[in-house]
Amino acid sequence: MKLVPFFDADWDRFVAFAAGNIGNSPPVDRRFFEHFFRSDESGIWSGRILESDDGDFEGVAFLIEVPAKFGDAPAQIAWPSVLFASPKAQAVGGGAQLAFWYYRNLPFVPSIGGTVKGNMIKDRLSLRTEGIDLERFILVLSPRAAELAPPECRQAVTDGVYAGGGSAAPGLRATWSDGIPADYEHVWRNFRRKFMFTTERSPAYLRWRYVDAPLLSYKFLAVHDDRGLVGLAVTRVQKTPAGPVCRIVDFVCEPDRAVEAWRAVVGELAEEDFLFADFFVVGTAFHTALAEASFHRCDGKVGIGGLPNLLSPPEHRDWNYTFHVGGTVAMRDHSWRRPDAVYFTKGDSDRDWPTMHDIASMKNG
Amino acid sequence: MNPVETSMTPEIKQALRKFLAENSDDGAANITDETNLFESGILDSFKILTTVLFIEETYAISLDFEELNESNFHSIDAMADFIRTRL
Repeated sequence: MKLVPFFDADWDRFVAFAAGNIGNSPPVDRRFFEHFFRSDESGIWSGRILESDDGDFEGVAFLIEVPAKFGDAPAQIAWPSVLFASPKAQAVGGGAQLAFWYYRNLPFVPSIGGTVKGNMIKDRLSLRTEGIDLERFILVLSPRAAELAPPECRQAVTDGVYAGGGSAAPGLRATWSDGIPADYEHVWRNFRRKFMFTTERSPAYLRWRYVDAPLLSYKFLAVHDDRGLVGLAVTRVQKTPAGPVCRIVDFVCEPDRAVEAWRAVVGELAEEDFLFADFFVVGTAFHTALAEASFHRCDGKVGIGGLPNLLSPPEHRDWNYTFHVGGTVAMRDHSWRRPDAVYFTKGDSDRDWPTMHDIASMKNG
Repeated sequence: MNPVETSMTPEIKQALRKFLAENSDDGAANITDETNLFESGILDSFKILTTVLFIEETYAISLDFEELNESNFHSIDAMADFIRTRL
């Protein structure tokens, strides 16, 4: 087996391989794959093909490469996404060869959550840091949310419904939009200074990641005061049999106004018909503000944490909240390993990608 | 191959046998130096990674992804030959 670059011309070979090995997660849609995995106009994609010595397509790894900051320096991080090897390749360690390639050749390889089996590899090729896991915060907005929870969690969900209070500061207003506010960049520049290691959430990044993303539909909830933008939440609505759920997949605000900004967001969400809203975050940047804005920090799948993360369709499959970082630089320079130094959200990586259920829902309006 | 390298081979093989026995299911107890570790199911994608890391740590070498292939890892003999070339 050998690893070779993936070029535009390999798409048809990939589709044939995917039909027998991948299924529909993520959806094998060329526009979607090009958007996230074709890193530039050169025709080379961000990944590798695993080929047999005869040139047969036996596996593939795709990574989402995005700009980041690491200390004061610009950096490139690569989120492993698609990783599949044929049974023939698996039998001779082909999947391991693909993982070994990106962990040992790229500077920063973070990953969020996943399965127990996947974590066995991550634990050996990357670093997990105490106090830096993925944390889930939930704002319960309707007692109907309990319908999505397992029986033993329903009372906690009902008891945890947002009761109002902690309202936004006078003069703040939250408004929905499909685009990025014109004054966003200023807020981002202030926000990014707080962190040693985070995705460069520039206007260009947000446009690429959220506005222009195929098969995904996001809405922005902007918090303004009379002087301009204070905070910006990026949201995606998921429909469930019990009602809609608001997933907050990204958030940026003026560093000293986090509580106000989150409260303004909560005030607006409470006006809508959502069952609950949630926000996944790596790093402690918003722990206090989220608590003050009435979000519940969920520790595992008990109580309110029983509300499923996987909503399309709702399911309680085992899914862990780990955060790992590997890569040549991250393994050598550990300065990022502080809970207040990092900031990543569910919008980073592929944890917010659509299932076939989502796509069918979109088609059906 | 110089005499020193050759003399290390039994030790390398013994260390590999011990590692595989401790980190594999029952089948690893009866393997020979020629047993195909992939066909016998002793190595898979995950176990090959742990084996690579064991080799890197034990022999203070760093492997490239291109070296993580069937020809270098299909048996204890093959792994020992490969390690010797890297010492």
